[in-house]
Amino acid sequence: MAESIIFHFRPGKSSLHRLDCRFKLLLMVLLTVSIFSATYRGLFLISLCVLSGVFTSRLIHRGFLRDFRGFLLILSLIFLSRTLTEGLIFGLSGSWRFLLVILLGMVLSATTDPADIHGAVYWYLKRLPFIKAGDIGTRVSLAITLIPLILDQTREVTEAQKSRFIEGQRNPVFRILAQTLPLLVSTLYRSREITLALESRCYDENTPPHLSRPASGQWLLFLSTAAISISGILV
Amino acid sequence: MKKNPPLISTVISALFAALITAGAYIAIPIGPVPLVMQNFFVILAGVLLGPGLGLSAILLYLFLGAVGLPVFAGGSGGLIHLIGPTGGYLLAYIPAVLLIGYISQKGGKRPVTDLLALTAGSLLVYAIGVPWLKVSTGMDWGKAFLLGMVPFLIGDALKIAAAGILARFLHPVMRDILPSSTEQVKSERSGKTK
Repeated sequence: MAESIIFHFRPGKSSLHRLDCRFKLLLMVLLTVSIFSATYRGLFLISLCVLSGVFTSRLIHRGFLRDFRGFLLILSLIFLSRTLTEGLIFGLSGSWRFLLVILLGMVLSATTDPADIHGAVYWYLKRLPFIKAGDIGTRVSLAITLIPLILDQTREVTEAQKSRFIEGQRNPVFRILAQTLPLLVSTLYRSREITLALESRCYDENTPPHLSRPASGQWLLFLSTAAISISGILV
Repeated sequence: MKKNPPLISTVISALFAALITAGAYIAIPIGPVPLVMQNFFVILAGVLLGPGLGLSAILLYLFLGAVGLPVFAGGSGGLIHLIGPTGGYLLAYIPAVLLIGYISQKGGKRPVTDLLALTAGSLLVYAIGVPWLKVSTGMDWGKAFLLGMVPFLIGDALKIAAAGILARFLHPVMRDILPSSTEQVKSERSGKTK
């Protein structure tokens, strides 16, 4: 299933794992904008950049392609619909751009600890007036931590429902309820556990996260990727 | 000194943003086309969390998508999607969740008003999403309705029915979870004044 390879942080020591999260978030915004605005030559450059990120982060592991099947279905639908309406070239480029965004998201989530995302979001938002940077940073990192847990829980509920022969149930509303009610009750009660866990660690949103100064190598990686991203639109 | 929002609100809004994201990957096979549950969790956020907390969950979800994380339908993400042809549907979640939360709260969270709120919110998403689709793609009204609304109506009706029933079950759960933190905040504040 596609969800098992997405949003899961995989600890490692690659250059992307070590890259400052502030750089990663900025690059993420830049690259996703360029992917959809780039010319074909620019798209080639950006593709090289994204694919090198995929291999550097060691995202491709055993069973990756099997797990990627869900996305292949979506990509083939995009390919078919765009090919039928706009032609083969647009079909290919449309589905390729889509694939790059998915891979980029996977690289970010696989190489970034959610706690670092909290620090980066705090750093970007702390200068803005009327914005509680610490609170928003916590929400972002919590959401990113919770997504894979919810997806895992969904899979468990699906398996449990299959074992009870949910496919035999013809009422569609009942099928939605059978899938979502156990998921929601357990995740809502989990929110209380998370709150208690945060309180027991003396959580305070106003405590600034520790952010170290990025090394020169990280600046180099950031600037070169940003240059590729911008040139992707201009070339 | 700034007052901290109740910690449970922070956690609950993060949880619903995560649920909405996960909804993009949850497809329930009903008939030939599976139902993707993303907008189901959006309308549920409105009816369960109310306008304030529901809005913070939606804004958080859109923020995650704007950064580029693959949280939108089909695993896409990026700022460009918010201004693209389907951006209207995504941005419409903001007023929709406010409307659902407002009607549900004003109606005392009764089943009938909850259903009314869910229907109004779902229609509001189309009221913004379809004209946006028409303008951004240049297609005529008929085609915009045919592509951007008609295929999803049956699925949405099922989701509204399911969300209405779920809300009945989950309102007590929410009351069980949220008051504890409110009381706790009150006690914290009274502790500070002492």
